[in-house]
Amino acid sequence: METTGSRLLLSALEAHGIDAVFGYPGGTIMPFYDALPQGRLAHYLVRHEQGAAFAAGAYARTTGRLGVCVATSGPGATNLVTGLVDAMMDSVPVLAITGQVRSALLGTDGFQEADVVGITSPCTKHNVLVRRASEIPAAVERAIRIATSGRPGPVLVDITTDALKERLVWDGPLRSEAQPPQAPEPVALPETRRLAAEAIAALARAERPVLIVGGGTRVADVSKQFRRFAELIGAPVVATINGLGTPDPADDRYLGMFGMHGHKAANLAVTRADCMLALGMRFDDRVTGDVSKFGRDAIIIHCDIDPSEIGKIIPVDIGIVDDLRATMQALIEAAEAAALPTYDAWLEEIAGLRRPLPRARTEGGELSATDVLDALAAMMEPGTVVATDVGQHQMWMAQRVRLESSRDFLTSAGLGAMGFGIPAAVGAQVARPDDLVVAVVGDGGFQMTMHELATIRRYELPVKIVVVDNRHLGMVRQWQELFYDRRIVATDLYDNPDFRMLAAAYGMRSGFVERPEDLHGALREMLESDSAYLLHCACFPTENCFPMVPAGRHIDEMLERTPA
Amino acid sequence: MSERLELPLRDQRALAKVLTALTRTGCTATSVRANFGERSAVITVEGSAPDLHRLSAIVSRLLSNHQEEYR
Repeated sequence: METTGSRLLLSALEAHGIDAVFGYPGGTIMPFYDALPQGRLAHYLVRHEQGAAFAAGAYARTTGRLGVCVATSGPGATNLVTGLVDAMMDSVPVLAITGQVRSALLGTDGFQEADVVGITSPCTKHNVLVRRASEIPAAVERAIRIATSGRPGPVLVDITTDALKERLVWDGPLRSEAQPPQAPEPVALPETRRLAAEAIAALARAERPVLIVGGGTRVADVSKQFRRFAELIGAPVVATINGLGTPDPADDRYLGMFGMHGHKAANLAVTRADCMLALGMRFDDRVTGDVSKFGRDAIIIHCDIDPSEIGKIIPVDIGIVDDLRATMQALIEAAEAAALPTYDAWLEEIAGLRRPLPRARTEGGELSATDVLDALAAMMEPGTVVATDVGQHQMWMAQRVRLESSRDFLTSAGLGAMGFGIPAAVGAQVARPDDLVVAVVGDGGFQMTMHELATIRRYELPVKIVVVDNRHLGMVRQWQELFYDRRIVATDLYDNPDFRMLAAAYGMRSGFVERPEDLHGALREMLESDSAYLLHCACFPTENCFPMVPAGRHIDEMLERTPA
Repeated sequence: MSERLELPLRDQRALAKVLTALTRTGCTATSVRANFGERSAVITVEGSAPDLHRLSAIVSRLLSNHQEEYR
């Protein structure tokens, strides 16, 4: 069959079940765009390549399937990098396809040439430069396999424009026959079973155990197994921000998020625990606080698919390296076979530690951001997808949201990339067209990627956007207030644009609220809208996010209000 | 106190990844013995124990998938 490199690329993507890509055209990737109408791929034109990478990541986060983004060489490719690092940090399977200058120009500082393989080497699981059309199917297959297997992550296939244009006769496979369409359910290794029994024995000996769930539970999609396991063990449960949605929100023993902005009871439970079972988490500094004090007196059991995570930050007593689905099965079987104690005294102690989240003290009837997010969290139906940006609103939302599924909460957790929220909502709405998608963004992050309102408009995506506007880069302002002697520098956004006029410019319905008594009606109107809607919430500017553990302090050293 | 770590490598891409990772840890490469034609190389690195520990973790993640391609 006579074909071209571009058509081979298109066919290879389709052969792997890819049905949607987010991208932005340009010089070297033009041959691929020229071929696009000949295939079945739905292409979503974003307005900046960073949006393509974030949208692809969100597509993957909310479905568990590979997300795909496309960009041209040079600036197109470098604009993807933030999204790739985000995917690397949060273990999200993303395939980036980038055009590259023609082979003869490689290394000559040609127009729009950048060493994309070199630039993305530390922030991808795998990348490759393809210079011949005949190499495209195998390169795509290898990249997809690596992105979606083991600990998922981003991969990049950089293809020279002459390879994309190359005419060839191709009679080979687009996809290896040997590769099954779906990976079989993993079976626990014998070593996993042995260590799982040890882990359960350690929990049985403990008096104050805690179960910790991280983002690996979302990746492995083991919420159901975890909830069964938590029921068997009967210990308190806490989650990292990426683990939200895995525990049953209705379980009395679930204490919510722990860490820098974690719930007080969750942080104290981890601090006082004599045994921790950590599932699919990596002991990020935002959850450990002072590492030298974290889990000092506890037996620590760490389960992760990636051996490089075991002992990386925290020395562990038992490390189980296996697919979390297999590990959970082994843990459940071991727990079912064991005589486990009840932890009544410990649970009673924990119950006594629960506190309501700190409330904002407002003057003159001003709207507070926590009012907005309390109300929003209460009004959202189960199954609503929430995409946050980064900053105070992200932490406030993470503290409040009640999730039935870990695939319903999208946030740039490890990288903390402002500008994530709007393009993430785009990716989520494309992936789940029948579900309500709400983007919760601050006024700072919104302005980093608000051009994606054009994407929302073009594809008539019914995304709901809550702009929590405190006219500041709130989290940085908070740090300046608390840790930089109130020297407020470069965080005042007093000259924000009129967000409703912006929405109108993109043909989007909008609302505005600045008084607490109008909040519920405004949220109701937004949530009931059948089209895209932006709600501008003008909040008082100096609300701080508590509890807060100052960086580097132990996680039981929480601030619950601004010191006098 | 400086300690020493020997990392086996398979190809020049792996070496490039390790050299990049060195800059993030404060460790120093003291020697590279390589014959990439035979896919045989060892880089010797010195640094404090915590720095070498961090380097090992970074390199492990960077190379785990990369090396998987060559099995």
